Amino acid sequence: MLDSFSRAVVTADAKTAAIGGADLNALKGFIAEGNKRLDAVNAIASNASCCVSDAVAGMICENQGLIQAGGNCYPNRRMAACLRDAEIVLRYVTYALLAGDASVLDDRCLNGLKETYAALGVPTTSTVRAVQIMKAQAAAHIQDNPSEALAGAKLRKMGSIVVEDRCATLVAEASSYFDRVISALS
Amino acid sequence: MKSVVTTVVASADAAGRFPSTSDLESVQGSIQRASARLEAAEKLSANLDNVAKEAYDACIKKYPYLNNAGEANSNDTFKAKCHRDIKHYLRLIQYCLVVGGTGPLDEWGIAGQREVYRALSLPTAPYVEALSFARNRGCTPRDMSAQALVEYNALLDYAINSLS
Amino acid sequence: MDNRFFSLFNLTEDRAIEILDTPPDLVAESDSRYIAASHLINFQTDRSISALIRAVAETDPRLDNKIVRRKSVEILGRLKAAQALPAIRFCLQDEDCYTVENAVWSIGEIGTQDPEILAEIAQLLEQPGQSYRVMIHTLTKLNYQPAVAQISKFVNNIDPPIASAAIAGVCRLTGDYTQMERVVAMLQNQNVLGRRLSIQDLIDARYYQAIPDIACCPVSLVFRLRGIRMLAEAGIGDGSIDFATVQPYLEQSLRDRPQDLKLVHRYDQLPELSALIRDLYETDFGKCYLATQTIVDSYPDTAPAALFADYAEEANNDYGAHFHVMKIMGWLKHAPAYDLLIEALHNTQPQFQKSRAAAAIALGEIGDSRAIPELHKSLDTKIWDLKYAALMALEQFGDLSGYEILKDDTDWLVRAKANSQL
Repeated sequence: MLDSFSRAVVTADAKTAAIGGADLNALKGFIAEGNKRLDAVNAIASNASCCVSDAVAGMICENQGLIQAGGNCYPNRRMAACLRDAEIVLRYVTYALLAGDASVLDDRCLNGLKETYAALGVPTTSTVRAVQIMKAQAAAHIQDNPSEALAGAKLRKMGSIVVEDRCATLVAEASSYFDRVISALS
Repeated sequence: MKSVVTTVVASADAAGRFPSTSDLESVQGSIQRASARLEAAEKLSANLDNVAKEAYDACIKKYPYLNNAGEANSNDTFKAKCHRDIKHYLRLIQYCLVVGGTGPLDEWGIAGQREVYRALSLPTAPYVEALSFARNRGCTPRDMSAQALVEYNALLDYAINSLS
Repeated sequence: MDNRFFSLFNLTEDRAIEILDTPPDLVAESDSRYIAASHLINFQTDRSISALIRAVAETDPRLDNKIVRRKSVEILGRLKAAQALPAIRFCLQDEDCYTVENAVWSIGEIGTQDPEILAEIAQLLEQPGQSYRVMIHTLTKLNYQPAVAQISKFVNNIDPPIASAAIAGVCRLTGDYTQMERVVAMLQNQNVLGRRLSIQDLIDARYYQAIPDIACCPVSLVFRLRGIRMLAEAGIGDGSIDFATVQPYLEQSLRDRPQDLKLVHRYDQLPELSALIRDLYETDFGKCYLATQTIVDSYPDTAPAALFADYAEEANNDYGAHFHVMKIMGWLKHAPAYDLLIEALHNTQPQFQKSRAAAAIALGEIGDSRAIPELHKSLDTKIWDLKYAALMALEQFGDLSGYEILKDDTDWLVRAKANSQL
């Protein structure tokens, strides 16, 4: 497992070079933005169970067949497994965001996931849909402007009003991890 | 590669939980110290060849016999190796500054190295001397800020301790 | 004991003892107690040994003193100073793991059958954070059978070199070879130090079957040749193997073709030639061999000019890259490199010693017959691998006269080679 710092080390070592100016500047950027990153991780982690249940609910809402006899979220046991899996994905995305590097997500979560799901007969399209919903929610939580449409009565704001793209790079980074999950499943 | 962040993530993962407040606090603590470390890493990377050469030359100058074709006719072999290795250690120290832990030195410079030096009867004294010179030479604020120097010297001490 | 490097510091015995005896706080800036302790390796006298024992008794916990103390323990071991055993034994309980490591190693060098000391070393295996490999090596070397159970606990250690030492130790102590293939597998470890240590464990276990595997381990040929040579010496000595069994692997290692190695690195995509040449400066020779192979396969036409340029610029002064440049010129059969190779063949600067045998092999590859008399000159040297490589190169030219010349050579491997062909 790597983070953005050890990634720089491993890359430099492959070239037997010291870590140079450009990489050091990128890391300084990481540090300068460090508190925002921690806030973003905290925002997702604190809202994880909502994200997960909303994503699975959204997925089912669009495809009721999942909870009917023969569907992949029927009976309750399989529904529980679905919720658990969504939470696992979100958890590894959160780790990746904390580390600033995708390796923990790749190595510990996505590696072999597609094959496992294929063997278990889990429908990829639905899974991807749930991940997409989590991606949108995570973006909203990082920016701390969850939309009323998605959150409904559960809407809560964590702090003062946020200027729109204060966290644009972090949102983009988190989204890239969700995209990694989606492409690993597709 | 161990760092504060990977350690935190690994233990959260082992427990199957999201990063906790205390996890985030320990990462935050590490980030606060990281500026000083990166400053030292930046200065070292810009001068690595010079620092290595200066340390090595000082060691040679102090022990001129290293420089003479004396009866130990393999001294040149050792000098060439020593120069190469000093650079190697400084590079690993730079990595440690960046990663915020001793992982790169431990994994690529120390584990097994003591054994190899012993098995081949290679003297460690020139390494120790050269690295000690580098440690004692660092000067604040000329070379880097006081905090950066503390981080840098701590790693030099760590390398000296583990190789001697 | 290889003592080529022991005379590095121009100190008299008196002066070294005087410096070592100076209290840590009073040492002049220009003096080093660490150097003084190191230097006493040259004096196997009661005075030096007593001085080193006094240094071990100085327990000031600061780094500067700690490293002197540790070094003194090591030097007492190298001097095989049995009278220092009580002082060294005292260090087994030190809180500094490297002091403990050196103490254990020194006891192994001095040798003892004192059951209390051996039990104390075995007990260290139960403590966290110790250098377990050294404890295992020493207990095995001193044939301490009661430690088998404790050593066995490490055969599945998470750290491959520790597991490897334990497997080899159990093998030596009990004759159980069943796990030795796991030590062989470590010849493919990602970490170059892991690969080197595995060769050491195979030597210690006298695992002759591993000779073919050692021959394709991606480390410097110095480590491969050392392993094969030591195993051959032990195995031929006790009648387990003969020279003919070892010969192909020995010669494969001397020839040192990258395609004969099982490389552990690879490139995701083909690097630029300049990047490949940079890799020839790596301290991990496994990476250098990958670069060599890639240069020969992918840049056979452009590489020679680039290598000549790099040689003029830098490789002439780096013993690693110097060596690889010679090899590559041979694999490319680049005839214009003749002069460069002849210069390397006769280069007596010791740091380029490894390049001499490499140049001999490369000259054999290129096949310019002007090299024959030059290779003959290399039969008259003290360096065994150079002699042997020169014989192999001459074979390529169809010149078999070297065998007669070397049939009574002082080096037993060269002698065996010469006689095997007569």
